[in-house]
Amino acid sequence: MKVTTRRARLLRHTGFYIAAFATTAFVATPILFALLGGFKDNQQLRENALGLPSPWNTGNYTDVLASGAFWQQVFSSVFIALVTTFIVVACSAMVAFVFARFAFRGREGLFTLFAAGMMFPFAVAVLPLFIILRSFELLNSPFGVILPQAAFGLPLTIIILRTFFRSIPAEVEEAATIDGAGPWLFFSRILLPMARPVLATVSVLALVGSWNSFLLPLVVLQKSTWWTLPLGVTQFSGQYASDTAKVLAFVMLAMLPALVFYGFAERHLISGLTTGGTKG
Amino acid sequence: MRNPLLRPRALVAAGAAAALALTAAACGDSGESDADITWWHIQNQDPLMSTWQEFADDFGSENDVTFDVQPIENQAFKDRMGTASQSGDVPDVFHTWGGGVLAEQVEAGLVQDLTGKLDCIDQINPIALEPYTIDGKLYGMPFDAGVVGFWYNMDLFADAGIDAPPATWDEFLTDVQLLKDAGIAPIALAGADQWPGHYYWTYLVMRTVGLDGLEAAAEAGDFSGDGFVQAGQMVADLAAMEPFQPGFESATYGEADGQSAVMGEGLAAMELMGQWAPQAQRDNSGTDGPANLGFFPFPTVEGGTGTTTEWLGGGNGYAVAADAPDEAVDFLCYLMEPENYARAITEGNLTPVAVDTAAVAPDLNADSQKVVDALATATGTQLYLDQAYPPAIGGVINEATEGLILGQLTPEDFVSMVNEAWAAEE
Amino acid sequence: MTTTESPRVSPGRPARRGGDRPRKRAGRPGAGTLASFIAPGLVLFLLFVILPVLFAAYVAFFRWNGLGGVPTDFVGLENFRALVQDEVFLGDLWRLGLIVVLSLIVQLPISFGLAMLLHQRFPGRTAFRLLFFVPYVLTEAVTAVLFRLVFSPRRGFADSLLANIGVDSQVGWLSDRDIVMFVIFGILTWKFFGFHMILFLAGRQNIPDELYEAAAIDGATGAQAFRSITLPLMGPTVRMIVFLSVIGSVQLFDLVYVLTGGGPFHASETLAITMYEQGFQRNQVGYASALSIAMFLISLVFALFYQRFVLNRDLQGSITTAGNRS
Repeated sequence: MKVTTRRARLLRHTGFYIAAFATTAFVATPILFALLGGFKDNQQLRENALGLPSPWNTGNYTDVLASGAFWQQVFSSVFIALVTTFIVVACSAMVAFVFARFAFRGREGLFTLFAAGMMFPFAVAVLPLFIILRSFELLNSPFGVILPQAAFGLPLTIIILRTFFRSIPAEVEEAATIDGAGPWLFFSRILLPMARPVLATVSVLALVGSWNSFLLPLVVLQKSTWWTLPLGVTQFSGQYASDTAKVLAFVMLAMLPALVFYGFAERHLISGLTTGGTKG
Repeated sequence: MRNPLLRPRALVAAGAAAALALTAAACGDSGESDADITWWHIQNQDPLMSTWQEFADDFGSENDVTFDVQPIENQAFKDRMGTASQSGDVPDVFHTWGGGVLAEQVEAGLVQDLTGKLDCIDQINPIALEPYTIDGKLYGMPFDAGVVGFWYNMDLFADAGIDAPPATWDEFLTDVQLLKDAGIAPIALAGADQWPGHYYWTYLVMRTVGLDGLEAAAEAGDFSGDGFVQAGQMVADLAAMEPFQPGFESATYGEADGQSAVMGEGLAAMELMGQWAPQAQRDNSGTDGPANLGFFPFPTVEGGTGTTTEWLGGGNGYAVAADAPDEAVDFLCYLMEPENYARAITEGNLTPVAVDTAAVAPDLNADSQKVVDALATATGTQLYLDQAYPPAIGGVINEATEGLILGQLTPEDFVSMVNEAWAAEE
Repeated sequence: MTTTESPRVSPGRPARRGGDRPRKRAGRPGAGTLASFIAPGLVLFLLFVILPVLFAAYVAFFRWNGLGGVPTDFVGLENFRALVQDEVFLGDLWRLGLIVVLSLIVQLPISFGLAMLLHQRFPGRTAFRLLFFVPYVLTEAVTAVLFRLVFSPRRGFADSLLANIGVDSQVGWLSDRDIVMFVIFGILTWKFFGFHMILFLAGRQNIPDELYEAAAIDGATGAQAFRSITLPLMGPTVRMIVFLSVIGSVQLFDLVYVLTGGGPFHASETLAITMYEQGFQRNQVGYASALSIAMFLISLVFALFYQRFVLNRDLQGSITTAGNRS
């Protein structure tokens, strides 16, 4: 370490804090606006946009929480995210296993095909997907959202898992083979348990991707039975367009699950994004 | 290994949950709504929103059917209907304005032919059925009909020193300037929604070339005549005066700072809107609306052939999906049962379509009465163009009007865009 | 690794799965086994990724309203010809360029600076890092609903805030055609700077401290070390982030669609919004498919070009290099 005087360090730290707090204000202000706005009524929003609510008005939040629609949307979002994650991780793990540990003709071609999927912006496919889903009668069904999402999640998941599966020493596999384990057994009993950390990472990525998805549910789910939260929020903001405080309460509640999840799975989310981002 | 996500149990549990959910979905739901009748309507504001829900509940319990009622904001409704029509699966009962949009849905085989199926048809004024009649068959039932005109805040007009509503376009422009000089936003407009803007262009065309001229142009798919260019130029000239409320470019009709709320709060002097405007002003602003709200027809244009008794208008109605249960059809007539319909008219301030208005609405409110009177003396009506024409053309007209108002298109651009859209439709 | 013992497989136990018959002992599993591993993923991928893209490429040569049936009205390259003359499409490209350029010269440097800042040790930096990432985890569509209220005219939060510090804002945040893109860019920055910052931070943490120590011994100043160590070694991260940022900008939809719908009069429209409007609202499915294909080509050409000339040094697991490795 270089010699730094106390004064210089103090100065440096002051600079850090100024920058950090400025950024904090930038990040937090809109969220606080939603949080506090939900506790106001429209009169207060108009006359006292900046201050704390007075009185605190919990009606907007309780109205939303008491509505069946909100919980139905939470359920749909969770359901669609869980099933998508399960399918994409299961399918990717099997494919990545073969790509990582067996040599066969056409392997590289096949892998390149999957990897090329990363190049397809989802928006490109949404129109033809809609028509394909229509002919499969998957419109207005959660699987109309789940299956395409899972399919588009494959490339990145396969690439990450393949890299990890390769890093497992060949001796492990040889030992298993000597013990009589076939590929299925080796895969399910040895490889997957060893891959738990990276599976958690790709699962978190898939969950987040599905949770935030908007365009696909927008075109697939016309009827509200299976609406996800992003659809619900936009619909709610149209229906209650003139009731700003209530919309803010709904927005805040819709953000909450993601924030809580982030609080718990922050490490995986970030490690997933940095692997996905830098190795992708 | 402290993280719970890494524990094998958590992974197994997640897998099990997913598998469970999969089975639940596979068994429980084929993607269709569980309800027998899905109903999409655009009465997304109380009091009518609750009234509609109540009617559905009552009808449901009497007839042992379940309802999934969805009140959807107008613009969102149009978007979702577009996608639903594409998907080949429309709700059992849905809002419609009739015209070319309905015709395209009919052509795609999505809409039930209601001819001879509605017992209540005799109660409805036959003129109101026209927009819903395609090739002699009835595909929708109106519950309200009216006209578009200027709703104006008489107090603000008085503040600007205007004592009578304008009768000609020149007077109208003079009044706009007077209002501006008095520091009042003359006109409320929902620029982002596009459709409110297209009323201006349509009316100016109706006033320059007349209703006949407009119909002839639509017949030929050719909007190149001088009157059309002139109408476009007049829209552009009006917009150049900057008569609209600040931020109108991104405003929608129904939001807290949107067109009707601005009117309701007395922040703009007038809006060109249909029969629902007074009610929407109250709903969207959360106020009682302007104390003195007046109504005047779209002014005439010097040298034009149109008259003030030719109205742009239309109504609101419901259509039934081709594969909807019979109860869905019965439900339409349930709405028209005198007691129910009278209640809807009073609470929602609808403009009745009944043959005998006095019977269902003995004391109609003053605003609705103005519209009823206008209809009664009308010499001709034109359905809103964005509904009357096929969606691709109506969409172009809406979009092009926005372009005119924002100075992004010339009247000539406008005409060629509309002509191209007609040509593509052939 | 905390697993103490790999699960043992006793030879006497019967095979667990139906697809796993006596072939077991063979060192090389048969084609059937391999196929059973690949099949579910491959079917899913072909059906929902490859097929739609091929289908779009086919439909792009037809005029079709998409309402049932199959396209029959073959028009050749007509849709593409109309596309390159469509001012909305050209405007979309221009706005895409604007977003990309602004990202490169404004957003990425900010993220980079904050990453360097948070790499320093000072009390509370973990909390800041957590906080700055929060906008990224929020759903775009939900964020857009919120910001529509923040920037709503007259009564919006932004205007109230400005009024409070004595500025009577006449800014039409979302209604002024000349500034709406910059407001959107501001929101995109709010949403994504934390993500880029985290990537930069990860890149910075991968640089060994020894390098800096050695440089310090050689008498290098902080600025010199930054120029000759940090910048060059951050190269791969920077190039990757630029790549992600561009590809992300091409598909921009959720945020803008909910915020402005692309208006006023196309002033904030993106490629994906134009495609959505034409395909789903105007029933011009053939034309919208041509637009989809154009988006695809833009992404593809950019990706290949970028990998060929910029990334080929440092990308692992990418398309062009994936095939060559091992």
